[in-house]
Amino acid sequence: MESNKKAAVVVVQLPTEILEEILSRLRVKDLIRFKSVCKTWCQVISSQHLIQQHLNKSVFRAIHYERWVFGPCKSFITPKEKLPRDNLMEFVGSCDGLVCRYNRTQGIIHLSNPAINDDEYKLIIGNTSHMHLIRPYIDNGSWKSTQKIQKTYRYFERIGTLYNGTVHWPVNGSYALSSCTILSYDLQQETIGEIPGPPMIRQTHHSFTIGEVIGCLSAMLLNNKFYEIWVMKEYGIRES
Amino acid sequence: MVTTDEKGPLTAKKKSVIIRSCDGDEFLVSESAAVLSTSLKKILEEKEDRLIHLSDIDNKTLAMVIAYLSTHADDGLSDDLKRSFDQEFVSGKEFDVLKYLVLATDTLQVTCLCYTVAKKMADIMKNKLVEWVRREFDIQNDYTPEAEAEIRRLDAWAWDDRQLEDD
Repeated sequence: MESNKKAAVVVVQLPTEILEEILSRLRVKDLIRFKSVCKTWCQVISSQHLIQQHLNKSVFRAIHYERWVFGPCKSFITPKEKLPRDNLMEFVGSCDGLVCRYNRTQGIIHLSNPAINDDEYKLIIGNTSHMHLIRPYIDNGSWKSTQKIQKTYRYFERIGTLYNGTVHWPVNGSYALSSCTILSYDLQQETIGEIPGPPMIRQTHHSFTIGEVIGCLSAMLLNNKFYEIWVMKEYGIRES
Repeated sequence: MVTTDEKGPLTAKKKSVIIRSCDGDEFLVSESAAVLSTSLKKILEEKEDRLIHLSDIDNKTLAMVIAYLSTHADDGLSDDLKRSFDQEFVSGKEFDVLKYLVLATDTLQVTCLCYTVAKKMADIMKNKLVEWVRREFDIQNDYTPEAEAEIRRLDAWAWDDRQLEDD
């Protein structure tokens, strides 16, 4: 006991790195409460670095960064505004603790992060001809950039899959299943691209979804009897 | 407590170090154990002297760190055994003891021990009151009562008093 007291005189506070090591192992609920311990703790807990550390240790890491909404959008509710009670919101997706909801009749998109505010999120909203990128916490509801889509596609899914900093949607260029491709949106470059779909797609398949399997972009095809899963080992290369 | 780790006359002759705590106790440690600490490794590379004085680690904490290093330097132990040693090592220790231990891992740069202790500390902090945290970490509340009330109001969902513990 004696010696510990002696050491307490030498070291008053834990270094920030050590504090982060401890805090990043706490549950979110405890973390939020401990913001009121003191100003320093509040700063450390709210920092981008700790959020990332916490996510890295989190068990639920299936979705890495962002998720997307697809549908007509008339207005946008910033995260800090309260939702009117009578709005029926449809759950769209969530990632990193950010929850996205969408009201179909009024065309409202609502984003909220119940835990920690974070301005790094990007949201992609699009229709058949354009894609809009919004940074909800920064742009205050206005489009940051808009990209025109060159061809007309039919979408198999409203919500895209994020892989490697790019969002992907399984799409179809015409009405024949054989022309299935994957539409992509690069979040860094803010560009739209297209990568080839799985090679063995046939008329008998009636569903085409994509996802991430063992760290690779993959496609799941469904025909009458069974599922086929294609894993693209080398990004963008159909044969891999 | 003195830890000796002699692997044979040849290695023992040159491969051991004396580490002195801030309260003057000396520990004989094999060099293979000492170099698991990044800072001790650096010191040993730079100086000929085999005596290292640590001005901010007390004897109790140093003894624990050395026990840890010696176990992890033992090539005869499997990784599984080392892992279960780590669990045993932190279990039942008081929060205060862990706090000095985690500080020592910072000074000595022993990353894996730092992670183990940090995990244990986080486990103990689960469901604890803010007052408990301030007491254990020796932290002065620098919020005004109004600012603190506001911050608690914003995240009211995290404050379910029924579950929170103060000891």
